[in-house]
Amino acid sequence: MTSILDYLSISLVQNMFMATVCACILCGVIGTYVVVNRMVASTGGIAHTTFGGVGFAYYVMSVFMVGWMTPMLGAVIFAVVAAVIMVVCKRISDLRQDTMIGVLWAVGMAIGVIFMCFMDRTVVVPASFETILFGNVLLVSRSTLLTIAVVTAVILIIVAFMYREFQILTFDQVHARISGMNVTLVDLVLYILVALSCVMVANVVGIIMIIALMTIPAAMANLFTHNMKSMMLLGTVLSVILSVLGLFLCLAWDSPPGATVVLAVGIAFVAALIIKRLSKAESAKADS
Amino acid sequence: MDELPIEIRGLTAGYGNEAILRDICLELRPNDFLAVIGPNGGGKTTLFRSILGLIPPMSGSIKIYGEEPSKGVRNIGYVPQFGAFDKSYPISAEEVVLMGMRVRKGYRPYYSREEKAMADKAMEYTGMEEFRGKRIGDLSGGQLQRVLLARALAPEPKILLLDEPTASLDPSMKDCTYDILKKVSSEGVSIMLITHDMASISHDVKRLACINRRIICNDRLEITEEMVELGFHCPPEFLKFSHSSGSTCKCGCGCGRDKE
Repeated sequence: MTSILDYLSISLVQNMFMATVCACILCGVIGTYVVVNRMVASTGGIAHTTFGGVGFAYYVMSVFMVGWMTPMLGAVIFAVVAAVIMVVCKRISDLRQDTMIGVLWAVGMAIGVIFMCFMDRTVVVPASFETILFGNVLLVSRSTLLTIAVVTAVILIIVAFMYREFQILTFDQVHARISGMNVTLVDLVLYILVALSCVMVANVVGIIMIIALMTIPAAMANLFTHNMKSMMLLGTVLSVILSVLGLFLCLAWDSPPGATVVLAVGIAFVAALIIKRLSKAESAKADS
Repeated sequence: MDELPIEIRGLTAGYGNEAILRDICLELRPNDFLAVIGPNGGGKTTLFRSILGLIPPMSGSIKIYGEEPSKGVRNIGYVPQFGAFDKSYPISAEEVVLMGMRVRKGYRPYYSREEKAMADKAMEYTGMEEFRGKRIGDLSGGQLQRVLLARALAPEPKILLLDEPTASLDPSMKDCTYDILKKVSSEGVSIMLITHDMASISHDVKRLACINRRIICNDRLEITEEMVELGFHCPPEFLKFSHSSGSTCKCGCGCGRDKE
């Protein structure tokens, strides 16, 4: 019988672990902004719009023979466009943001289905709907891993330089405007970072479950710390530990990796809530 | 002649096509302490938003030391209502105060030693130095109010604008807030505050204005019959200032009164 150590010597399994760690760093850092800025629904909208980009890329690749238009690039284009539309609607239009989220969410998925339907499958064989929607991190190639690592590094550098700006913007927009900040531009940068993170995380857990990894580790960290930098750090550590645990379980059980990771993170969140509630009750008892 | 801290001439302002304020003329003088009173919906917030450059005037002009609000706003420290904040936001009192430095320095990725020293000074000034590491969710309303005041004071502004600074505060906290403002005023900062609550206005205020779409100013801390007619529709004797100068300080702000 193949042991887990045997699996670890396989290149694709190594890629799987490294891609997951990169995605987890993004979930800890960008996920913190998603949670504290109450952007969970927006993130869900952007994440689902990426399906349209994947379908678009397959269509362009197969019909127009454009080899460089990879599914990941298509997803990035659609996610960034969705982020721009959300910011423009929030800042300029009277349209309610949740309405726009609903529209982007559904239309993005519909565009993906239509493009996948009309693509030429004799030229390009697409990944299955199941793989795109629920992820299969075992399929991450070395070049995809490199892309994920570079994008992660770029996002971290931008966050390091924009940390103060994001903090002011998300805490007090009036103060941000008075202090001369171009709030639309900074908001746009934040949404684009969320969009890029969604595409990178989609490689690990698939489009549908992005929102779980972008939300749960940061929310769990927020149960135990109320400092933003600590929240980012703890969110990243929790995300890495739980996702790697999920991957080991997926290897042991031969279960789908994305779903196993999300399940591990979800169970840990419920456990964290219970621990927090019990410790609160304990300290209230000690006080009385 | 020196430019006035704030000079408003014939200002009409509002949202969309609806004018909330009509033909407003108002000036904030050097070392002034002006309270603008008026009922809810009378245009107090619209006046502040116009001064801060958050909404453009429909007609008329606003000058801050002779400049347009977009440029002159760097001279202003603004204290919003503390109730408007998300108290679950993971941020400490010190981080909030440091935010004030952006008004002075613009975009910089990190806070310098000088900026941190100025923020420390502002926290000491408002008696918040011992709360610097506390999360804002763990602060009382009065403490958060003083953190926001420290944030406005940190870049050493020439003008201080306060939106309902004593709303929802107990009498002792109100007195502490006014004692800090008195100290700020004595250092030459021009202060303007808006409130709907006449009873919360301190005797330290030098001038009074009443706003209800139009504005009437008085060079003394005295309500005239026209002001009552404009803003409150009741006899002037019903409206009294109630700053209790003899109450004891509970907040530890260093305002000079004995602590309980």
